[in-house]
Amino acid sequence: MNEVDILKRRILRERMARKEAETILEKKAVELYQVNEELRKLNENLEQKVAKRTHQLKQSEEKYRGIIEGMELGLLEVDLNHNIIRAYDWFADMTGYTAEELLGQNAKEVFTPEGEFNEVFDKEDEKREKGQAGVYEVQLRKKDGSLIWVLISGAPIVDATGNAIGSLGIHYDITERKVLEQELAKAKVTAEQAQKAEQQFLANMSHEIRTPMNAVIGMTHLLYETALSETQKEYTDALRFSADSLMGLINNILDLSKIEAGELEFEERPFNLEQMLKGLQRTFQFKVKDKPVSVDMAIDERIENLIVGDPTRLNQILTNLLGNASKFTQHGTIGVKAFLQEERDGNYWIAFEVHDTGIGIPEDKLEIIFENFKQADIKVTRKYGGTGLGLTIVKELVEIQGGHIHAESRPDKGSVFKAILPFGNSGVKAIEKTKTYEKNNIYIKTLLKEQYVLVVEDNDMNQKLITKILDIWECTFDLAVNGKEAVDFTMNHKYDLILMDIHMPEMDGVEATRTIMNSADNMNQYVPIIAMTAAALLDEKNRALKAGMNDYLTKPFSPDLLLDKIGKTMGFCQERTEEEIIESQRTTIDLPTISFNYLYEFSNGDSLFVKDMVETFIKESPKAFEDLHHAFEQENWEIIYKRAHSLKPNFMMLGMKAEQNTAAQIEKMIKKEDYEADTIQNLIKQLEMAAKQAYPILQQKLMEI
Amino acid sequence: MKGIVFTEFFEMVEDVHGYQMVDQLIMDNELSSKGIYTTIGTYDHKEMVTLVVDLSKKTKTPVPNLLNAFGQYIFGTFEKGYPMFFEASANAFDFLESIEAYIHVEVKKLYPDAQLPKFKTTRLSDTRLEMIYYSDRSMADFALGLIEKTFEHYEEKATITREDLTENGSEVKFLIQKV
Repeated sequence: MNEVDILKRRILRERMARKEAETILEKKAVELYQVNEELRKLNENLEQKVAKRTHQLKQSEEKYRGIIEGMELGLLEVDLNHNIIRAYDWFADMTGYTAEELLGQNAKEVFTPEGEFNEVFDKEDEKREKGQAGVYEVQLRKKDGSLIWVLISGAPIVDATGNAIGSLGIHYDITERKVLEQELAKAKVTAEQAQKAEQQFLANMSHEIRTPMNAVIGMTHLLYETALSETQKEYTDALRFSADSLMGLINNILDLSKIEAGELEFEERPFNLEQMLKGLQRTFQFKVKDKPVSVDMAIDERIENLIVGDPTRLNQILTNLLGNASKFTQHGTIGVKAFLQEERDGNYWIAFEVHDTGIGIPEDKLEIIFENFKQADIKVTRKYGGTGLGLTIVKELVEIQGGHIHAESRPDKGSVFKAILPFGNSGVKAIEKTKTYEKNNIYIKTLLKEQYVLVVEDNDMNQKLITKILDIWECTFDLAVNGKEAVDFTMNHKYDLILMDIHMPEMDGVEATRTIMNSADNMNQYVPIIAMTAAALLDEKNRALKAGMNDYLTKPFSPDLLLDKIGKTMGFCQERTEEEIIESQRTTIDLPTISFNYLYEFSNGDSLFVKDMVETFIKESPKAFEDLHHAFEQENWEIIYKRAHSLKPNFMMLGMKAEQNTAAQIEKMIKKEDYEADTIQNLIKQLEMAAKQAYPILQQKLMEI
Repeated sequence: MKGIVFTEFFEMVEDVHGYQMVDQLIMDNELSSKGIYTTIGTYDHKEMVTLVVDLSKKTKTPVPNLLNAFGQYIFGTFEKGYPMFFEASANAFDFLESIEAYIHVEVKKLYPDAQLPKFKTTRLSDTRLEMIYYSDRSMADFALGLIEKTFEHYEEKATITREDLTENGSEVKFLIQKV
């Protein structure tokens, strides 16, 4: 019964406990509900806030998109596969579609159906994946099939976690710009072609004009070799002057065209500035010899080394400036001063001041004198001539080399042209390396008589000119009319020298040279070859030298220049230092002086008599020397006395006073029996040498009779 | 005091002495709850003191022993009901240190009105932990029972030295040496 009571109490307690628990739970449930309600309200509030913010953000985004659209920029949003998520109005307008039409389409397939820009797109896709923006240009196909060029600025679209889910492209229509670009490129090509054609025309013209001019100048030189009356000589002078002017003009135009084409090449080699200036001084002293004008030259002592640069171009610049100076100065002084303006980075910046006391230039004209075909005054052209190209070329030559030039002048007082140019410093003292060629034309001509020369030339007039010169020099030669013939000739004869034209039919000079030099069985494989080229283009010269030719001559050339080149090529000139030349100058001055004055006076101007006498001397005197040598070997002093005695008046008649005295000395010594054999022998040799040097001069003079 | 302590106490008494003893304790004492407890309710702490003291009298067992046994008993309930707290720690020291810093924080979230003892733990070395118990309820023996069971749970062994810092047992220092 007790246990039952306990059980009853237990059940009661548990029921009570359950009720209590239920009450607590219900209370808790209400609390929970209230808390949940609060939470929900908070959430709602938060959502509203988020929605509001999102709306604001969207508005702001739309605002910017609106601005971009307003700027005529087309916006397009695509997913990672280029499928269009949204196309904005301007983009739709740009491509001729409506925004609805484009939605969901594949942008690549719609706008670039040929796939021609796939490479560009792939590259850009890679960038977008990395979250990078990019700008690129592609061509899009519009709905109507026409094409437009667009500049696209693409940027990745990212989701909340930062992953790229597509891209936004801002499109700008650049079709007009592209068309303009293409037109510009076309125009550029056209302009370049036109310029090329012009250059080609100039080169051709230069060739075409030079060939006949070559003949004109050459023939003029030959005219001088004939007996001319005073009037004829006057006409010939005028002819030569005009021909030289015309050549000068052609050279100027050619130079200018080369400068404009940027084809001018500059040499880099060491040279002696002082020597060049002295040479210019001598040249211009000769030019102004008929006017009371002196030519000054001054050089800064600090320029003690050989300078490195292009001596030909510097000479051209200074010759041009000094040419103007001499042209416009009737009395007073012209000259050039070279001084060291600056020494920087191992370079000499040298200022050249070319000054004159001439008519001067008005201040307002100082600017234009450097322009093409412009002279200070039209009257100047009439009075002084000139093309108006000289200073343009000078300015270009100076500026291409990194220098600058300007002029100062006062009318009727004179002008100063100051050009500043950079040169390298060779580090070698100018005096140490100064070597020059001593030219002795007579000596070269004597040696030339023993040479066998091959002339290769296709042009009739040029043939005539060059063969005539060689005839005068009594040189043996063959004439080939083209390269092929020249090669044939060289297979059969051994020559000492070849004069080779470059432009020829059949086989040109360069090829002929190569053929001769490359055949081991050709006995002329190592013969010296001088190129004769009509084109003054450096290129032509380079081709000749590259082919293995020893030197080149630009036609037209003077006989003197040809002799000079032959002398150098054949080694007939001795290379000497300046001191040696000064040392030897006395000997050079002591060359036989020859005058026919006595003979003309003697014969009352009978030129036939003069000619006869001179020819007799040339013919007979070698025999006299033969006798003298023979007699000396046999110590037959009487014969020596007789021969010296008979030679004495011969020298006298020819105006060879020194030789006349030498002969008289021999005569006297033997008569007095006061001599040594060696002295006599030396004197005989001296006489013979003088006679031998006299022969070519006499011959030349004979031709003038 | 949370109802779970009372319900668990009666569970233990019923297990050891039968429901008759539970009925006796309720009948012999003036309890404002009339012995009706639910785990989620909250009851006067004094009722527990009354029940423990009466049980001690009835079973002739000292109060500390009873509290210790009760602590050991209730550990099993915690183990079953809140395994995540045990899984969060790798060993007994870590677990003991996490009571104050973690478990009681979580309990407070669930029962904001719960009055919990405070613990201060100091790791003296790898094998020595000082743990000080603070509570006006003075149930350090109950805590000791729980600590002992903790080592069993992690299959570790330790000797625990007890030092009362106050006379009424509101502050007690346990020096735990792992072996």
